[in-house]
Amino acid sequence: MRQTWNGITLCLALFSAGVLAFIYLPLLVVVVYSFNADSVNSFPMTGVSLKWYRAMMQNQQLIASLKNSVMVALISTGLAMLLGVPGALALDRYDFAGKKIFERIVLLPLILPGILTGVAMLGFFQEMGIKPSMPAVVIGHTTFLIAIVLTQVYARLKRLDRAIEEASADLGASRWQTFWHITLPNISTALIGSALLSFTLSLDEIPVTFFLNGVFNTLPIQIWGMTRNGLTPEVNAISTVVFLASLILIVISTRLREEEKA
Amino acid sequence: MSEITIQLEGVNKFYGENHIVKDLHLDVFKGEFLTLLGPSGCGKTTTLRMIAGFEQPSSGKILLAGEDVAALPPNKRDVNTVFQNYALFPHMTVRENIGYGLRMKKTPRDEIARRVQDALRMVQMEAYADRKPRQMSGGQQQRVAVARAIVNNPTVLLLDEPLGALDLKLRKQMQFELKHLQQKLGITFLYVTHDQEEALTMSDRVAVIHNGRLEQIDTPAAIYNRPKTRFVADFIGETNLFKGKVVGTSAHEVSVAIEGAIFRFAHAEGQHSGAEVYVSVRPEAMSMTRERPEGEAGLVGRVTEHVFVGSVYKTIVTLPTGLEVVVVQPAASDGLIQQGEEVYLTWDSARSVVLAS
Repeated sequence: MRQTWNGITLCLALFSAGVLAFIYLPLLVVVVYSFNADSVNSFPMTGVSLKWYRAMMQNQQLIASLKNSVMVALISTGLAMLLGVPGALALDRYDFAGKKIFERIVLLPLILPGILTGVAMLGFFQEMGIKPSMPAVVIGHTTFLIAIVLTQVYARLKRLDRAIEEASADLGASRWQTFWHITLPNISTALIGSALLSFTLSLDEIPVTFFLNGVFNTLPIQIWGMTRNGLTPEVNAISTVVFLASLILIVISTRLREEEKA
Repeated sequence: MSEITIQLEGVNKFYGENHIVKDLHLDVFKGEFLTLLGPSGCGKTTTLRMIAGFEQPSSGKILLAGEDVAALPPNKRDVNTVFQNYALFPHMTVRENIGYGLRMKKTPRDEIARRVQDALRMVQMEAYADRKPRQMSGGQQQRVAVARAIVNNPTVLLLDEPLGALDLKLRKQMQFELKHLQQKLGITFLYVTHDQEEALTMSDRVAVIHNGRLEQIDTPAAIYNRPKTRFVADFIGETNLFKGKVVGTSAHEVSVAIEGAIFRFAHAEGQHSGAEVYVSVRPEAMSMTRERPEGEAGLVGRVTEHVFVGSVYKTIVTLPTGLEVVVVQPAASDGLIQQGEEVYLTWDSARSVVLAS
């Protein structure tokens, strides 16, 4: 059947283009203005320059907050993996009381508005005597990252052909050897994918962090602070960097998922 | 063939309320090719999985080479399995798949390489050694699965419908290859299938299982010619089952009334007068004539179908009671019988079996 370029398809194409523009044009503006020679965001630009990237590099507070964010993202992703992967294995392999309920509520930390989680944790931590600090932020992030790791790894485990684990045992492998040589390599894409996604989500998390950080600034909080006195081109520069980094991580994690399906 | 390799003693298996395997006693001899044959859901695969160690019997004992294996996990049992869908490791090459068992047993590297090469040659897969499973056809994967099992030189090889996913032609070819491999290696094969033709072709002995119970265990010829139960007669090959009543017994014979005529049969131990029985007659043991046969009782019927099926003619004769009888005759006898004709049916009583109903 030959596709005809009639009125309906044209309308659809225009509508799709409109939606895409609505989503991505603001991002494009940020990226373009990050190379602006002028300090005022206005069009047409007076020239192209990398000076805001230089300014960004020299902004000690900004660099410190970037380091903080990367550290928080690394630690909470690590913790989410350590807790989420065994959790997924337990869900897949064992029947226990309340399993059905657990399966349903495990996504709750992701679905709940971050502001709720933040308020709840702030109150809870105060009761526990934990001051708003870096560990508090890490714990906050970990709670919803576990949900990501657990659901992604669990979904992969459910599709894993259990016969290959039986075959491994049949060929003389202990349970640990089977896990190491057979199970792990076959869920590796889900592991890497969920770790990358967790890292990205932690990196630009604001609401939960906002309640728990105290004087400890992460990059999104720092950027948010800087924009209170108007949008500076420096913010455009750091936003572009974060955008590119996130994009790369998300592309990798999507690729992994597709590769696994093939 | 007298040494017993696997011994099942009164094995039962329940899944909740379901009684899957019922009081199974089975001796598998060293070096034999024994097939567990039965319709799907009869408990044959469960039996195999209990021997492999993936399932625990609810009661009863399993002995491997005389040793009770109840406490042994699958990796400690000297058996290997060829799985229904091959269960090859998708992230490993053919060579790595085959060498996996030896690697787990800490076999020296050069010995692994040599034995894997031997196994590859044995299943004619040398050219595919560095492929991944998904780059191969079903038949090729099947060969790799067999090689991966036999390379470990197990006491017993368990095969769970290994040819089920292959097309007919390849299946026939693999049946002979597997049989030859088994004869060459001398490994005991315990084979599970629902395909009776496959079972008869390959096995030294066949164990027919129905509803979790062992119906009969014997050589393929004996299973075919001397079925012990109605289920076995019906399940193995094609047969005509006539309902009848025992009207007289003597030392070697039993007289049975079928459709109003009296027939005499040998081989009917334990049948008493008045018993309701089934008589099983294979289509090739039936014959039909236009004239009433002399001195012999015969059933009268009308030919409702007469078709040429290659080497033989297959005729369906319908009796006045509506029972359809299948008669198979050599193609050379063509032209004798026409559709719609009335014929007299007789059978070779030596090739007929009287079964309790």
